[in-house]
Amino acid sequence: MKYDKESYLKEVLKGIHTDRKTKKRIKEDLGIRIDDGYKEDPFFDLVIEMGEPSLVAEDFMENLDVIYPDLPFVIQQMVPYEYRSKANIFGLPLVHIHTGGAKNSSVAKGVLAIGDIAIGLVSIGGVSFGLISIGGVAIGAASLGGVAIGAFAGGGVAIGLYAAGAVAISLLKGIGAVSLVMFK
Amino acid sequence: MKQENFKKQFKKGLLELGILKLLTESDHYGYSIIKEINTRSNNTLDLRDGTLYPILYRLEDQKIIESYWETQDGRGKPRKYYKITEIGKERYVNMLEDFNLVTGGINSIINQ
Repeated sequence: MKYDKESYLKEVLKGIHTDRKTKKRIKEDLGIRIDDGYKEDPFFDLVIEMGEPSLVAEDFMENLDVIYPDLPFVIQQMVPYEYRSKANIFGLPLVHIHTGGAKNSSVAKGVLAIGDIAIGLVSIGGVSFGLISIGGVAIGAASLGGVAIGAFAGGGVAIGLYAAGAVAISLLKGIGAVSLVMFK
Repeated sequence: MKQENFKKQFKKGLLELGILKLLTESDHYGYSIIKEINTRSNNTLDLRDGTLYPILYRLEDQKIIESYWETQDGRGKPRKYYKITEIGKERYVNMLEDFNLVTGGINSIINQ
Protein backbone atom coordinates (compact mmCIF):
# COMPACT_ATOMS: atom_id res chain seq x y z
CA MET A 1 0.00 0.00 0.00
CA LYS A 2 1.19 3.52 -0.82
CA TYR A 3 1.08 6.09 1.97
CA ASP A 4 1.58 9.80 2.15
CA LYS A 5 2.89 11.42 5.31
CA GLU A 6 -0.52 11.95 6.92
CA SER A 7 -1.97 8.53 6.16
CA TYR A 8 1.26 6.86 7.30
CA LEU A 9 1.25 8.74 10.61
CA LYS A 10 -2.42 7.93 11.11
CA GLU A 11 -1.80 4.23 10.57
CA VAL A 12 1.17 4.18 12.95
CA LEU A 13 -0.70 6.03 15.68
CA LYS A 14 -3.67 3.70 15.32
CA GLY A 15 -1.47 0.89 16.64
CA ILE A 16 0.06 2.83 19.53
CA HIS A 17 -1.92 2.67 22.74
CA THR A 18 -0.55 5.16 25.18
CA ASP A 19 -1.49 8.50 26.71
CA ARG A 20 -2.35 11.50 24.53
CA LYS A 21 0.78 13.43 25.44
CA THR A 22 3.07 10.63 24.24
CA LYS A 23 0.99 10.16 21.09
CA LYS A 24 1.32 13.86 20.33
CA ARG A 25 5.07 13.63 20.89
CA ILE A 26 5.34 10.64 18.55
CA LYS A 27 3.25 12.30 15.85
CA GLU A 28 5.40 15.41 16.01
CA ASP A 29 8.71 13.54 15.94
CA LEU A 30 7.75 11.09 13.20
CA GLY A 31 6.37 13.99 11.16
CA ILE A 32 9.72 15.79 11.29
CA ARG A 33 11.54 12.52 10.64
CA ILE A 34 9.48 11.97 7.47
CA ASP A 35 10.11 15.56 6.33
CA ASP A 36 13.85 14.96 6.81
CA GLY A 37 13.64 11.78 4.77
CA TYR A 38 11.93 13.56 1.86
CA LYS A 39 14.39 16.43 2.07
CA GLU A 40 17.38 14.14 1.66
CA ASP A 41 15.80 11.89 -0.94
CA PRO A 42 12.86 13.05 -3.07
CA PHE A 43 12.12 9.37 -3.83
CA PHE A 44 12.03 8.52 -0.13
CA ASP A 45 9.74 5.53 0.32
CA LEU A 46 8.06 5.52 3.72
CA VAL A 47 7.51 1.77 3.94
CA ILE A 48 10.97 0.80 2.67
CA GLU A 49 12.79 3.31 4.86
CA MET A 50 10.71 3.19 8.01
CA GLY A 51 8.77 -0.07 7.76
CA GLU A 52 5.11 -1.02 7.60
CA PRO A 53 3.08 1.24 9.94
CA SER A 54 1.86 -1.73 11.99
CA LEU A 55 5.46 -2.85 12.59
CA VAL A 56 6.56 0.66 13.52
CA ALA A 57 3.67 0.83 15.98
CA GLU A 58 4.61 -2.58 17.38
CA ASP A 59 8.18 -1.40 17.82
CA PHE A 60 7.01 1.70 19.70
CA MET A 61 4.74 -0.34 21.95
CA GLU A 62 7.59 -2.69 22.76
CA ASN A 63 9.87 0.16 23.73
CA LEU A 64 7.55 2.65 25.39
CA ASP A 65 7.14 2.43 29.13
CA VAL A 66 3.43 1.78 29.07
CA ILE A 67 3.17 0.62 32.65
CA TYR A 68 1.95 3.32 34.98
CA PRO A 69 3.55 2.87 38.42
CA ASP A 70 1.00 5.14 40.07
CA LEU A 71 -1.87 2.78 39.28
CA PRO A 72 -2.75 -0.41 41.19
CA PHE A 73 -1.35 -3.60 39.66
CA VAL A 74 -4.75 -4.95 38.59
CA ILE A 75 -5.47 -1.74 36.69
CA GLN A 76 -2.01 -1.84 35.07
CA GLN A 77 -2.93 -5.19 33.57
CA MET A 78 -5.83 -3.65 31.69
CA VAL A 79 -4.39 -3.43 28.24
CA PRO A 80 -5.98 -1.79 25.22
CA TYR A 81 -7.99 -4.21 23.12
CA GLU A 82 -9.92 -3.99 19.89
CA TYR A 83 -11.92 -6.55 17.96
CA ARG A 84 -13.92 -5.72 14.87
CA SER A 85 -15.88 -8.47 13.17
CA LYS A 86 -15.45 -8.87 9.44
CA ALA A 87 -19.22 -8.98 8.95
CA ASN A 88 -20.75 -5.54 8.39
CA ILE A 89 -24.34 -4.34 8.36
CA PHE A 90 -24.99 -0.91 6.82
CA GLY A 91 -21.30 -0.10 7.05
CA LEU A 92 -21.14 -0.92 10.77
CA PRO A 93 -19.33 -3.99 12.07
CA LEU A 94 -21.62 -6.63 13.46
CA VAL A 95 -19.49 -6.71 16.60
CA HIS A 96 -17.02 -4.05 17.71
CA ILE A 97 -15.19 -4.34 21.01
CA HIS A 98 -12.87 -1.47 21.81
CA THR A 99 -11.28 -0.57 25.11
CA GLY A 100 -8.41 1.83 25.69
CA GLY A 101 -6.98 -0.06 28.67
CA ALA A 102 -5.84 1.49 31.92
CA LYS A 103 -5.58 5.13 30.92
CA ASN A 104 -7.42 5.79 27.70
CA SER A 105 -11.03 5.64 26.64
CA SER A 106 -11.93 4.22 23.27
CA VAL A 107 -15.15 4.30 21.33
CA ALA A 108 -16.82 1.13 20.03
CA LYS A 109 -19.32 1.49 17.20
CA GLY A 110 -21.20 -1.49 15.87
CA VAL A 111 -24.45 -3.39 15.77
CA LEU A 112 -23.23 -4.91 19.01
CA ALA A 113 -20.81 -2.43 20.57
CA ILE A 114 -18.81 -3.08 23.72
CA GLY A 115 -16.34 -0.50 24.96
CA ASP A 116 -15.43 2.36 27.22
CA ILE A 117 -17.87 4.37 25.18
CA ALA A 118 -20.24 2.16 23.19
CA ILE A 119 -22.56 3.23 20.41
CA GLY A 120 -24.69 0.59 18.74
CA LEU A 121 -27.98 -1.14 18.26
CA VAL A 122 -27.06 -3.09 21.38
CA SER A 123 -24.43 -1.28 23.39
CA ILE A 124 -22.56 -2.23 26.54
CA GLY A 125 -20.05 0.15 28.04
CA GLY A 126 -18.93 2.67 30.60
CA VAL A 127 -21.09 5.13 28.70
CA SER A 128 -23.43 3.50 26.22
CA PHE A 129 -25.84 4.74 23.60
CA GLY A 130 -28.14 2.36 21.73
CA LEU A 131 -31.52 0.89 21.12
CA ILE A 132 -30.74 -1.53 23.94
CA SER A 133 -28.15 0.00 26.18
CA ILE A 134 -26.36 -1.31 29.26
CA GLY A 135 -23.69 0.62 31.09
CA GLY A 136 -22.47 2.90 33.84
CA VAL A 137 -24.40 5.61 32.10
CA ALA A 138 -26.84 4.08 29.62
CA ILE A 139 -28.93 6.00 27.17
CA GLY A 140 -31.28 4.17 24.83
CA ALA A 141 -34.79 3.05 24.00
CA ALA A 142 -34.36 0.34 26.63
CA SER A 143 -31.58 1.14 29.03
CA LEU A 144 -30.12 -0.47 32.11
CA GLY A 145 -27.35 1.11 34.14
CA GLY A 146 -26.06 3.08 37.08
CA VAL A 147 -27.76 6.02 35.47
CA ALA A 148 -30.25 4.92 32.82
CA ILE A 149 -32.14 7.19 30.50
CA GLY A 150 -34.61 5.82 27.99
CA ALA A 151 -38.17 4.94 27.09
CA PHE A 152 -37.78 1.93 29.38
CA ALA A 153 -35.13 2.65 31.97
CA GLY A 154 -33.87 0.60 34.87
CA GLY A 155 -31.02 1.30 37.24
CA GLY A 156 -29.70 3.17 40.23
CA VAL A 157 -31.14 6.35 38.85
CA ALA A 158 -33.67 5.64 36.08
CA ILE A 159 -35.25 8.29 33.96
CA GLY A 160 -37.80 7.39 31.30
CA LEU A 161 -41.34 6.93 30.11
CA TYR A 162 -41.31 3.84 32.29
CA ALA A 163 -38.62 3.81 34.96
CA ALA A 164 -37.62 1.39 37.68
CA GLY A 165 -34.78 2.02 40.08
CA ALA A 166 -33.64 3.21 43.45
CA VAL A 167 -34.58 6.61 42.18
CA ALA A 168 -37.10 6.46 39.36
CA ILE A 169 -38.22 9.50 37.47
CA SER A 170 -40.87 8.65 34.92
CA LEU A 171 -43.42 10.23 32.67
CA LEU A 172 -45.96 7.39 32.79
CA LYS A 173 -45.06 4.80 35.40
CA GLY A 174 -42.30 4.48 37.93
CA ILE A 175 -41.25 1.90 40.47
CA GLY A 176 -38.62 2.69 43.05
CA ALA A 177 -37.62 3.59 46.57
CA VAL A 178 -38.03 7.13 45.44
CA SER A 179 -40.46 7.38 42.58
CA LEU A 180 -41.57 10.48 40.78
CA VAL A 181 -44.26 10.15 38.10
CA MET A 182 -44.90 13.23 36.01
CA PHE A 183 -48.27 12.26 34.47
CA LYS A 184 -50.39 9.96 36.57
CA MET B 1 14.94 -16.59 26.53
CA LYS B 2 14.75 -16.95 22.77
CA GLN B 3 17.72 -15.86 20.67
CA GLU B 4 15.75 -12.95 19.18
CA ASN B 5 14.63 -11.72 22.61
CA PHE B 6 18.17 -11.88 23.94
CA LYS B 7 19.40 -9.79 21.03
CA LYS B 8 16.61 -7.23 21.50
CA GLN B 9 17.18 -6.79 25.22
CA PHE B 10 20.93 -6.65 24.79
CA LYS B 11 20.63 -4.08 22.01
CA LYS B 12 18.16 -1.92 23.90
CA GLY B 13 20.50 -1.47 26.83
CA LEU B 14 23.50 -0.70 24.70
CA LEU B 15 21.73 1.70 22.34
CA GLU B 16 21.30 4.18 25.17
CA LEU B 17 25.07 4.23 25.58
CA GLY B 18 25.59 4.66 21.83
CA ILE B 19 23.11 7.53 21.63
CA LEU B 20 24.69 9.31 24.59
CA LYS B 21 28.12 8.89 22.99
CA LEU B 22 26.87 10.65 19.84
CA LEU B 23 25.39 13.46 21.88
CA THR B 24 28.67 14.00 23.75
CA GLU B 25 30.20 14.77 20.34
CA SER B 26 27.51 17.13 19.05
CA ASP B 27 23.79 17.87 19.15
CA HIS B 28 21.68 15.68 16.88
CA TYR B 29 18.14 15.44 15.56
CA GLY B 30 16.28 12.11 15.41
CA TYR B 31 17.00 11.15 11.82
CA SER B 32 20.69 12.04 12.15
CA ILE B 33 20.97 9.77 15.21
CA ILE B 34 19.47 6.88 13.24
CA LYS B 35 21.86 7.45 10.33
CA GLU B 36 24.94 7.85 12.54
CA ILE B 37 24.22 4.78 14.67
CA ASN B 38 23.51 2.62 11.62
CA THR B 39 26.54 3.88 9.67
CA ARG B 40 28.98 3.56 12.57
CA SER B 41 27.71 0.10 13.47
CA ASN B 42 27.80 -1.04 9.81
CA ASN B 43 24.03 -1.50 10.10
CA THR B 44 24.44 -4.27 12.66
CA LEU B 45 22.37 -2.37 15.21
CA ASP B 46 19.65 -1.50 12.64
CA LEU B 47 18.22 1.33 14.73
CA ARG B 48 14.58 2.11 13.89
CA ASP B 49 12.26 4.97 14.79
CA GLY B 50 10.15 2.83 17.08
CA THR B 51 13.23 2.02 19.12
CA LEU B 52 14.95 5.41 19.03
CA TYR B 53 12.16 7.75 20.06
CA PRO B 54 11.07 5.87 23.21
CA ILE B 55 14.73 5.91 24.34
CA LEU B 56 14.93 9.65 23.65
CA TYR B 57 11.68 10.26 25.58
CA ARG B 58 12.97 8.28 28.53
CA LEU B 59 16.31 10.10 28.55
CA GLU B 60 14.57 13.47 28.22
CA ASP B 61 12.12 12.70 31.05
CA GLN B 62 15.09 11.76 33.24
CA LYS B 63 16.80 15.06 32.30
CA ILE B 64 19.75 13.20 30.82
CA ILE B 65 19.18 14.95 27.51
CA GLU B 66 17.14 17.97 26.51
CA SER B 67 15.60 19.09 23.26
CA TYR B 68 15.37 22.41 21.51
CA TRP B 69 14.00 23.61 18.19
CA GLU B 70 16.18 25.14 15.53
CA THR B 71 15.50 26.28 12.00
CA GLN B 72 18.30 25.62 9.57
CA ASP B 73 19.12 27.98 6.69
CA GLY B 74 17.04 27.24 3.64
CA ARG B 75 14.70 25.00 5.57
CA GLY B 76 11.31 26.34 6.52
CA LYS B 77 10.34 23.94 9.26
CA PRO B 78 12.26 23.81 12.51
CA ARG B 79 13.93 20.61 13.62
CA LYS B 80 14.01 19.20 17.11
CA TYR B 81 17.61 18.78 18.28
CA TYR B 82 18.75 16.80 21.28
CA LYS B 83 21.67 17.77 23.51
CA ILE B 84 23.21 16.03 26.47
CA THR B 85 22.89 17.72 29.89
CA GLU B 86 25.49 17.82 32.68
CA ILE B 87 23.58 15.01 34.42
CA GLY B 88 23.72 13.12 31.13
CA LYS B 89 27.47 13.53 30.79
CA GLU B 90 27.95 12.03 34.25
CA ARG B 91 25.56 9.23 33.40
CA TYR B 92 27.46 8.52 30.19
CA VAL B 93 30.81 8.25 32.01
CA ASN B 94 29.30 5.89 34.59
CA MET B 95 27.61 3.79 31.94
CA LEU B 96 30.80 3.54 29.94
CA GLU B 97 32.72 2.39 33.01
CA ASP B 98 30.09 -0.23 33.74
CA PHE B 99 30.07 -1.34 30.12
CA ASN B 100 33.86 -1.76 30.04
CA LEU B 101 33.82 -3.58 33.33
CA VAL B 102 31.09 -6.01 32.29
CA THR B 103 32.32 -6.65 28.73
CA GLY B 104 35.87 -7.08 30.10
CA GLY B 105 34.60 -9.68 32.55
CA ILE B 106 32.51 -11.50 29.94
CA ASN B 107 35.41 -11.47 27.47
CA SER B 108 37.67 -13.00 30.10
CA ILE B 109 35.17 -15.81 30.64
CA ILE B 110 34.66 -16.46 26.94
CA ASN B 111 38.34 -16.34 26.04
CA GLN B 112 39.55 -18.62 28.85
